[in-house]
Amino acid sequence: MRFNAFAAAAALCFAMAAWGQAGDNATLPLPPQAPAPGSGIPDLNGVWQAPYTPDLSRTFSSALPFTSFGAEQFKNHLGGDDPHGYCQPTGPTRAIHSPFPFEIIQTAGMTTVLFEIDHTFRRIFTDGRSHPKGQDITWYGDSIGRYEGNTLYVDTTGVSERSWLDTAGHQHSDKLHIAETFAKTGPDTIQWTVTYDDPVYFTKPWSVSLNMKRQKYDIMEMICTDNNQDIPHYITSKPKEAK
Amino acid sequence: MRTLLTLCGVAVSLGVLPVQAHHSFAAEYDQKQPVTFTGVVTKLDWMNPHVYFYVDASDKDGVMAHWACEAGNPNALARRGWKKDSLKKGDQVTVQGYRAKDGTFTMNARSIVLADGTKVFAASSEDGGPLN
Repeated sequence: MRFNAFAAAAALCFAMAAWGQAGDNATLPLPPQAPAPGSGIPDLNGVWQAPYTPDLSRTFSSALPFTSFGAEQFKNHLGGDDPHGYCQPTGPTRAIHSPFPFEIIQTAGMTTVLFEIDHTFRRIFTDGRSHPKGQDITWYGDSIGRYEGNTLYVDTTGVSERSWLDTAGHQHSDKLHIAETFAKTGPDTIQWTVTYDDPVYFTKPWSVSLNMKRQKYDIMEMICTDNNQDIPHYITSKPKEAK
Repeated sequence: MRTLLTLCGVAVSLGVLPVQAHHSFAAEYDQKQPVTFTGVVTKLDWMNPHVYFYVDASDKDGVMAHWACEAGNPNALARRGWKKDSLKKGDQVTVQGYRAKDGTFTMNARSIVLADGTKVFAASSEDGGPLN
């Protein structure tokens, strides 16, 4: 009994520490051991896949709102510059509209996405914390979320400019701010909407919406570096050693 | 009829469903350099991020070339029913696709046909490359 009381008090302290402004990247608290998601929170658990969307602009009704810098970067890119061609990470959202499924796991204070592509994962903290102070810039950035009705709202910052938004070569700066909604629209469907806001590359935010479908098969292992024969053959605008 | 419908289904699947996303077609291949050759499979790598198979084929002058052929992603192909032994060392195949821009004997396979006419796995039409 004494142990249980101590554990409960410790968990409460832990939970309280996680709330409010979080520490820097190196000292982030773990999510609190709060009760698992219950009623009122949409059940997003399962294996899902969105339509493969190698070019996000195809789903956009008009031209992307490039800044002059953004337009120049897009015009001058070569397909062989794609970081993922070298098995570098996709970043937080490109993996969602890749041709590979992913598994969403909801636990207390956190939603985890296990991506088949590259055997990587992404964590979305739903314990009320803020983005870290003096945030590090990382490949997947920092994602925090909250539930409202049938929807998980996710906010992501601190994404490295080394990742691309899609295979077509749309790029971004580390000022990128991503807002996502995962709306449970049926037992086997999630409407995913992503909004990219990056003042370096785009004059205004722009959004893409895709419908994820529940899959009947498990995710598989996909190790990109296993047999990447392509690297010597890429036509790239950059020195290969810089990759 | 059932077999025919199944085969049609597989063919349609291969035509419209993506099996690669690791890089864009244009990153490596030239749609202005279509190639077709018939030869013997010497090796198969059923590995990520792309299945690769190797074919020894003679050109019209009898000069032997050792082709490295890129196909789709093994996970995606497996979900469509293809297996690693769907193509084996020693199989005679006719391969149609597009050559690498760097001029090496590397190509992106869009169609792989065994000697008995059976089509096996190939790459995708959703990588920004040609539709066949």
